Amino acid sequence: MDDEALLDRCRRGDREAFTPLVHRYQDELYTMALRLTGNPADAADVVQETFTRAFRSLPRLRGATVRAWLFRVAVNCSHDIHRQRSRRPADPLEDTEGRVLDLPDPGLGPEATALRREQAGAIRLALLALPHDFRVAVVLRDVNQLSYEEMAEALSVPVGTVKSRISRARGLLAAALRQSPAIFPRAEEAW
Amino acid sequence: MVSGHVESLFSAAYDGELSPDARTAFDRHLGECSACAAAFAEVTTAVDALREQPGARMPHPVRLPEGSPVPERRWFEVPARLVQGRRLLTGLTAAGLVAAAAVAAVVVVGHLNSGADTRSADSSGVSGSMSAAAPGAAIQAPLASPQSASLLPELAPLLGGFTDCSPRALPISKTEALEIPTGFPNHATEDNGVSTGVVATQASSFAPGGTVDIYARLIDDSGGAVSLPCTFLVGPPSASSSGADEVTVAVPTPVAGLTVDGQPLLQVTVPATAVAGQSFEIVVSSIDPDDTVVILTIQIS
Repeated sequence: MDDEALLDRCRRGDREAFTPLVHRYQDELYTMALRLTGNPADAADVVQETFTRAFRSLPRLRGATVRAWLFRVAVNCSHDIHRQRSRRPADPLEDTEGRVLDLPDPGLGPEATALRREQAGAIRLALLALPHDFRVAVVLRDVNQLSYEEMAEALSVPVGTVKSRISRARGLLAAALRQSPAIFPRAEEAW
Repeated sequence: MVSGHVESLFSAAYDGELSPDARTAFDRHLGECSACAAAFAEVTTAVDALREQPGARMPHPVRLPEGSPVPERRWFEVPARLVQGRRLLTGLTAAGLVAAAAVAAVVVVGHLNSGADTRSADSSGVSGSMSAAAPGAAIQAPLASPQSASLLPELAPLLGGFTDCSPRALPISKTEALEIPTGFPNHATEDNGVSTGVVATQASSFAPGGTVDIYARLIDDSGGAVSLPCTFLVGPPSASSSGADEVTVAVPTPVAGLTVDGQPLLQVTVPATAVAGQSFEIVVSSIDPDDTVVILTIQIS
């Protein structure tokens, strides 16, 4: 059943229609929030808060797609939570209890696994160094792979603004990663 | 960097958005310009690395609120923002009165000692300012419309005065509403995904008994409709309020002739009993009583 059909059922008060929407979007929203906040616990809170807001508000949604709207709410929640809380250092691959959440391919050897971990750490720091609007732009585009139009809807800005933010954000991301040997091995060799 | 070259096209090129002719010219330039070629390779490598990061999984189940996603509306309902650690006036939980899901909210303020002064207003309830009472004192408010009053016969004995603060539509665009007027430097804007709230005042600190002009706008994110929203002035606990709950001391109201750029403002009076150093909050709410949209803090000086 597509989003609109589920939304129609929600509007008629069908609680059970909401669960498939949660299952459909919780992981990509969590991934987005993890990249935006850099913290697994905050990211989980973002997803929880997003669906809590959505549960009451989604039935009133008019004229927008469910997916773009959920990203819109999640972006706002990420900003709120990240702003409210002191930055908590965390391994990007572990939850608050240290359990690994996103293991690289188990077929990888220890060296490749270590490299993936270094890459993840470098990308996490590079993203957190970006100004908020640019971080959101590059995450929605290159992590969640939203279209320009979906991003415009989610961010309430024109498509042209979306494109310019993505362009600027990618340039800043590349600059932030330039010295990372995990991303640019030649940088290490030069030393 | 490589400004003056093709740096501005990197992102579009990465996304495959260049026309065939533009892509040909872009590739030709990269073949001739080592700086652009290196810079584009750097962006490509960085973005590829981000894209190759594995997706993450939500580590625990999402807990949904109880009940139906379309809750049954009650006639007498306390806005969640105010329930959570806040009370309206002294002890009595005055309330946001949600007339119906599809119509504007009506906020009712009152107290048990119904000797409050009330004064007439037109049926829209918008003429005349409302004196913000100190916690424990009577609020003077315009009478609600007969229609609103008729909705509340069982509450009439409880209400010393009440006001219709239904959000009223304003004939302005979302863009216009988001433009904070000159002279209102203390402002806040919040977008909760359904509505965008804007609230602004001419100063951030006010004396006890001072008058606060409030620019408040609520914008429906889906349709872009702009309204003058239900707004509360929330203050710190007072000796007469129970517990440590903060207290809603007034509902700012539109005042005839008080406008900015031809559009109405709200106005409220800081309680005369307010004490320097205290903080008050101006809370803008949407028609959904669960939905506080934006909060602006003012200080008492």
